[in-house]
Amino acid sequence: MYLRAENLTKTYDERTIFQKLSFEMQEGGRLLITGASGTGKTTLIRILLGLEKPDSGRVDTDLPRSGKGALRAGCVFQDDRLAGDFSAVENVAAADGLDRSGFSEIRQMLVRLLPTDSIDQPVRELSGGMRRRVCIVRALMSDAGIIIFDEPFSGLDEENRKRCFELIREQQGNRMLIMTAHSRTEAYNDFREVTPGEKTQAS
Amino acid sequence: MKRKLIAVILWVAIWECLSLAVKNPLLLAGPWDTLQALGRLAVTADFWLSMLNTSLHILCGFAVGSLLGIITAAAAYRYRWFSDFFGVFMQAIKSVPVVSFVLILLIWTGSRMLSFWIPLLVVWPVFYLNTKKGLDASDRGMLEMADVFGMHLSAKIRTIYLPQLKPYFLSAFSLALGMCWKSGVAAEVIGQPLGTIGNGLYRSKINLDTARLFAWTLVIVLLSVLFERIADWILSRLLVHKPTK
Repeated sequence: MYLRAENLTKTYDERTIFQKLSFEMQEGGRLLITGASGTGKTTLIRILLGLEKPDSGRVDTDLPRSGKGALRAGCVFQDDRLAGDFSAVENVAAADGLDRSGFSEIRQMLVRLLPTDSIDQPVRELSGGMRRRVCIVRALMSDAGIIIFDEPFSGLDEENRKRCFELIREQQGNRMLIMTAHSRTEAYNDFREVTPGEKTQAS
Repeated sequence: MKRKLIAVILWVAIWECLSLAVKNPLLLAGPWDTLQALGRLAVTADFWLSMLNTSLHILCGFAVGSLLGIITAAAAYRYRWFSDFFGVFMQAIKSVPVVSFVLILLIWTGSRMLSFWIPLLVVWPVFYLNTKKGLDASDRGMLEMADVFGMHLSAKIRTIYLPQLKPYFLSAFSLALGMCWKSGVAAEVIGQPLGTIGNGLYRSKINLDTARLFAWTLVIVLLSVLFERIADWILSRLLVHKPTK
């Protein structure tokens, strides 16, 4: 498995967000996209996912794509994108194509991050932090070859950030892992770093 | 509920006062005359057969029209060319007066199935436009998420489209059911198929039996309210999601 970004350039309203950005990932690889707000982290993720087109350059991969051309991935978006009337378990099952027989596996994963009594409640009744953790589990339970987390810990306290990060590392397996953060900290020591605002070539 | 009942009683009282003031049952039959006429109708087999006949036709027209509306709206949402092509047809159907359809159908199919075809044609654009509007307003972010995760179509319908469509469906059902009864019975009055509510209404008119005319009208109102309640009950169970444990 590989994912290769080649000379990606993106411009908004004549402002260059990033220029000739290149990097490559292999199976089990970890990539951290850093930068302050508005420097193009989410745009880069959207381009990698095939949800937006770059002005020039291309994304090459052997990972499967969905019918509409989006890269098949387990993903935490900047906003939650959960079905409010459905429980955490149902949200995860619906996104990851699991039926009732997969519910117990989902529950086991959810209770590692959430109180047991919250996982069967409609997610609109959960706090912002709880919903964020549901999103993380939804991404981790995906069977796609890549998991992408766009600022996954926003709204989480330090303790929960730590627990979520540990679970992400533990569940990554041989999948590719991409995360975004404002800056690199010690926790990301084993991540390769890409900063879209700079002219970057990392491999 | 209690306030509604008081309002109904007040309106019946106003009706009675007006009929007493007019003093001519040919012009305005009172509530008591109407009830008596309804009692006389209710003991005839023709009355029940007419009710059954008209209800079945109208409800079948409603069911087929609503299904067609939902299916064609889904196709229009999926295929832009179909939306452009079919949207024109729906706008035309919506704008054509019901009476024109009645007369055309009388020439094409005769009067027997009029109260099936007319509600179908009335309901179809209502469901088409409401469903299309609901689908167009679908949460783009959720749809992107569904694409990225490779969600199955059934899961997308259940978790993204149906919750979005719920208010549009409820509004379409309520609007269309009322329109169905009005247009269906009006078509029967014009087309005169035997053994129908519309035919009963027409016969009351030519016999100058105003009390009977009011009795038939009361039956239509009651049937319309009854079916709207049943539809509300079914919809509230179908569209409200309870998380599975």
